[in-house]
Amino acid sequence: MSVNKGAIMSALAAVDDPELPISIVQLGIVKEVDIDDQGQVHVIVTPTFCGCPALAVIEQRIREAVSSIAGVSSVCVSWLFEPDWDIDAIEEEGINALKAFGIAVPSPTRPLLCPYCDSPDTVRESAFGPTLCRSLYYCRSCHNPFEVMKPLGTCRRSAKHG
Amino acid sequence: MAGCPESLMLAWADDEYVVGQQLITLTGMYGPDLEEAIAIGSIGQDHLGHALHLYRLVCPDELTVNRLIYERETTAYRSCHLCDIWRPDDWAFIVVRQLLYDLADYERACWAGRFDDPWPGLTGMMARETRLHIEHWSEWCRLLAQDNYGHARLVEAFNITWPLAFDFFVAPEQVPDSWSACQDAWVEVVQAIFGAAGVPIPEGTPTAHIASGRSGRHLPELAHLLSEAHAYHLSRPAWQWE
Repeated sequence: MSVNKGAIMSALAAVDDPELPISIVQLGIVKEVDIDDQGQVHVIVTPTFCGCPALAVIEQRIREAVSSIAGVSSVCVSWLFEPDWDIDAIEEEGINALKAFGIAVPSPTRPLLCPYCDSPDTVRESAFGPTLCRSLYYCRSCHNPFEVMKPLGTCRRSAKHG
Repeated sequence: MAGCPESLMLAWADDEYVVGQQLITLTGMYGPDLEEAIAIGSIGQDHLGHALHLYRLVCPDELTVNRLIYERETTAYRSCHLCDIWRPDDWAFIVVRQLLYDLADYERACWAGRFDDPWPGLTGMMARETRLHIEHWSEWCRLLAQDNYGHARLVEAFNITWPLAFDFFVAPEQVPDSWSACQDAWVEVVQAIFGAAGVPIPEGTPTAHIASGRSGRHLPELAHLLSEAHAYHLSRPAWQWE
């Protein structure tokens, strides 16, 4: 019996990230899904941060979601570090869900806005927030604290060592 | 280029494990403010995450990872003296030690990027997380340097840590000669950051008076940290570290 890839993608789209109010597909960490003739499914995911304590939970949730699909004989989950995840991988739907939760996703093409009042008058209070992938901000306009998904592109390794 | 020598990965994992555990012991009980307590927790979590990935690369299975972490004698650890030393009640020390270590750790991750095997992309991910730490500790260094008292504390902490810091660069076995470039790059960036904070940096490389942590000779602080971890493991032998 062949496995329907669409069914697997739908199952993954229903797997919530344990620390964020969005799915792992919306977060953009699902990189690839391979299915072989024997019904063995290989899901490749990329961590947001190496030390993310949710990795084992995400792995388990993927296994549970995919293994119940008709025709699937086994599920293998592997973590890929390259290309690395960054906030530009978050899908539009995920960005909107995060905003509704009080978490802003910065972008190089638009100014950072407070998720509550859309004011650009914000200040970073700390680079480190309640999870590794979030920072703490404050809105000077509506006086609410809020969180921002941490951009990592600027932290990429320089090429000086070749 | 061939794979990264296992000796380097183990020394690296031990450095990250020790620093991560030290920081985690401060979570919730220390920090100039709540945001700092959160930052310490996050940074410690990064270090422990790096350690776990590295241990997994040198171990065939999870059980062996657990045994490697909890069931070794202190002399079997390969952490360097810069990581061993620990003064949890001295904020200036924590800032200086973390900054010196993260700068060195960053150079190591960049250098190790030349090995494709066994970690496609992992060194790059670790490096970018370390950059966040560097940004954080550099900011604290600048803050402390702003008044005479803070500056004096910074200088005192630097003078304690600087002679031990070079133990980081003692090459583990089978590490190619190009490794020494890391130390040169590190000295340059340390001079720039601490120089800007008005901390005088001694000329030349300090002479080591005891054998390196890379060969299993450690400062007393490490035995203290490990005894707590080992006691915990004995009380919960079935628990796996993940």
